[in-house]
Amino acid sequence: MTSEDVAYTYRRILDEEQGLYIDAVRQIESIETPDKHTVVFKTGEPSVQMLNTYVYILPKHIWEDVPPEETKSFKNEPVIGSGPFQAVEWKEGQFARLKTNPDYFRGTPKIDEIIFQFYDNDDTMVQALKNGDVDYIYNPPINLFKSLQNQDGIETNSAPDPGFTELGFNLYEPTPEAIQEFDAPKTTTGNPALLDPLVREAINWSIDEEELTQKILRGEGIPGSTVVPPALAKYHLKLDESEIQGFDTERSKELLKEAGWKDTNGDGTVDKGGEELELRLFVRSEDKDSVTAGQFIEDWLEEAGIGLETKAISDTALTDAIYAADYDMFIWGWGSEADPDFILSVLTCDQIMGWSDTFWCNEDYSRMYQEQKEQLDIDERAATIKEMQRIAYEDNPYVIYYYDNQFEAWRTDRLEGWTKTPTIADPGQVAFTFSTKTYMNLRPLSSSGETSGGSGGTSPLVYIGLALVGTAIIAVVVVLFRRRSAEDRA
Amino acid sequence: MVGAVGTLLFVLVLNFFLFRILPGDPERTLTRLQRVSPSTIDEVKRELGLDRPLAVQFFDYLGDTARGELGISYVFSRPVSEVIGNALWPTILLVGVATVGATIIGTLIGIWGAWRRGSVVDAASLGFGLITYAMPEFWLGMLLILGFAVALDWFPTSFMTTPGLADASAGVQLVDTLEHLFLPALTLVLALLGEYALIMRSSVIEAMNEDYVTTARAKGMREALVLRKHVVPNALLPVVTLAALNLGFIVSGAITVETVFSWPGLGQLTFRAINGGPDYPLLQGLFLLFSVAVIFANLAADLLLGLLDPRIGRV
Repeated sequence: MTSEDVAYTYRRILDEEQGLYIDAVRQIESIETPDKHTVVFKTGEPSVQMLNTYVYILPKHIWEDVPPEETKSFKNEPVIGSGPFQAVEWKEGQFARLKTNPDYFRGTPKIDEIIFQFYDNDDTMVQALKNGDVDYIYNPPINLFKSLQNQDGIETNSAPDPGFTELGFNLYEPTPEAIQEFDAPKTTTGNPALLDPLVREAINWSIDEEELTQKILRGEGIPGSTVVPPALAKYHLKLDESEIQGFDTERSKELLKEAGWKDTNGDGTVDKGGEELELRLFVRSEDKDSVTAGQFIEDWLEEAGIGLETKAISDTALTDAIYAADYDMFIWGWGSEADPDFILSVLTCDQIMGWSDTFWCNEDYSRMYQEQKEQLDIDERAATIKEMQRIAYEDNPYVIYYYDNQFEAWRTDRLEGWTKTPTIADPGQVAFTFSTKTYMNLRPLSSSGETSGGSGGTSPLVYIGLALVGTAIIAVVVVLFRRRSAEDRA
Repeated sequence: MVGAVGTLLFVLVLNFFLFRILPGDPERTLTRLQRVSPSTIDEVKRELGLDRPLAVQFFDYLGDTARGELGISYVFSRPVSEVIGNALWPTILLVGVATVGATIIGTLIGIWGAWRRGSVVDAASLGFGLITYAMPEFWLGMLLILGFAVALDWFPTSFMTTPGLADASAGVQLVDTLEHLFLPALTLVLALLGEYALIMRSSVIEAMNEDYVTTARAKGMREALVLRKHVVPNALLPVVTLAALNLGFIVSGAITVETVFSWPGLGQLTFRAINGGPDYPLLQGLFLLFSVAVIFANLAADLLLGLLDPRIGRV
């Protein structure tokens, strides 16, 4: 790999406006390669994002023969990269086998190969780890993860993940501009009561973030608050005790009263102008945790006097409902990159009909989003970002109820060198991070003997085969013998 | 025969509209994890042909299907025929072996049970068949994994092959595949067994009460011979129908078993096609294949019965 490959990759992304990366490189105005090891990028405005662009470098000699219209359909086999391993064998949806790349510029890994396998079933995956079929598993469900803790030969890690789970609101108000500019829907079915920030704050006060973290994540997470997760420690706004919209149903009722919602007919649900406050909540049928959270939230809102109808739907149906503004509230989550830029962008006006799932549009927030992009001083940028979080927290487009952890588990009896990488959060995960440390450090345990996998020795199939043949022979002999005796008798 | 062709045409039409009733826009799902502008979405729509009126899409679909072109899968970005082709053989291997195994073992158990009706053997085999038949397949699969893969460590827990054997000899690869096949196939055999055993048992008992059996016995034939010559051939007819019909379902795979064992077959593919899109062309291709298989299996069952039982005659 030379500087030419780097320059080629960035130019290609810019020329083709490739969706996944374009926002990370758009600010680049010129790219030069003075020598084999140097690339010079020039941007129009100062850009903090240039320090954190996760762009995979493509080999120029392969891709220059692929015309733009074939970018998406190009098979890219064999895969050419520049990392510590080379893909040597793979079957789509089943596995990929990587062999050590002896020419890697940072040295040669101490293991010969890595195999990634895709399990369709979590229980089987966990059994495979216990059985020693695999050395590492990523993201088992919480109950299975708990069952692995304190097991001999297995180490577990529950690492803060830069993401959160939230209750989101439909804040769409159809305007000719929005319809024109964003191709937004012409109507909304969202309950207009939610457009009142007081009502949203009332909902936040009626939800117990601590309880959800304890009951659903079984404590493996942090109660939620602002849009930048605490895993991004430099940028996360830590709220004062007095600022937190905690769990207080009475407070919630007061806020509703302030917004004009009172239970005048004594049916337990607040009303205004003869209209009862009844909301719809979509939870994800593909995520059991969101269904459970929905049940908790339904009870809490009812206590505060808000009627709630919860429905579990598929992710595709939920995506449709959001883009059609055909919802009141939903539960979903986001993952952040190491840089907070992306997670902040989700709530900007520009992302309506893009990443936005609330139609929330706050001009101060969106303006500051552009500002922080150009703030090269980390402290200054962090101050802007913290202010943005405060704006969003006070206006409640989301009620972020927890920051979930990511789970991983690995065997300690065969390999050592599992290295937690605090790329984003401390202490971080050992694998599936933005670094290759674990892959470079892993080495066989000095004391361990040959693995005792099922592949060695005589296959049990041989015994089963022998048993079947034996049974067949006995059966034939018996039948023949009987027949003969029958003939003798005849 | 005319009926079969008619059914096929009906399925073609139903196939198209059925999947368009499903919630979800493919262009939205495909671009969900990317920062997309409305113009990109329009472009994706155009690429997938989703911007044109439904009627136009429908006639395109009919024409393409007639020419044997099943389209390009949205999820895999490869021709549907290729994607299905890759998943077809694993499923035929797994479900084929399991169906043949279950038919033979189930039938034998059924005959034995009927012959020794009321005995301990009969009660035990009947109970065993009913229990495995009633067990959820994924649970049975997990039990077998716990027993044979974890506790005994005889067989691998998942997948069809061990990675890294691409250069190994054919013999080693065959043994490897058979080892991977054993547990999922055993799960299916156990799950299907009961059905065959029950039908065969009642069918044999019924046949044993027929006049021709009484006649045969009256001629002084030995009981075993009566069973082999007169009872079993007649009692087999319902089992033949059942086996032929089940063969039709072979290709639709065994979604639960394929999922538990991560077996790369058509059941797993169907699941992924529904989740990732929905992937209209792939789902249409899959359901066309499933329908054709069932229709042909029905046809085959009719023809076969005609051969085995002269009373039914020509179809």
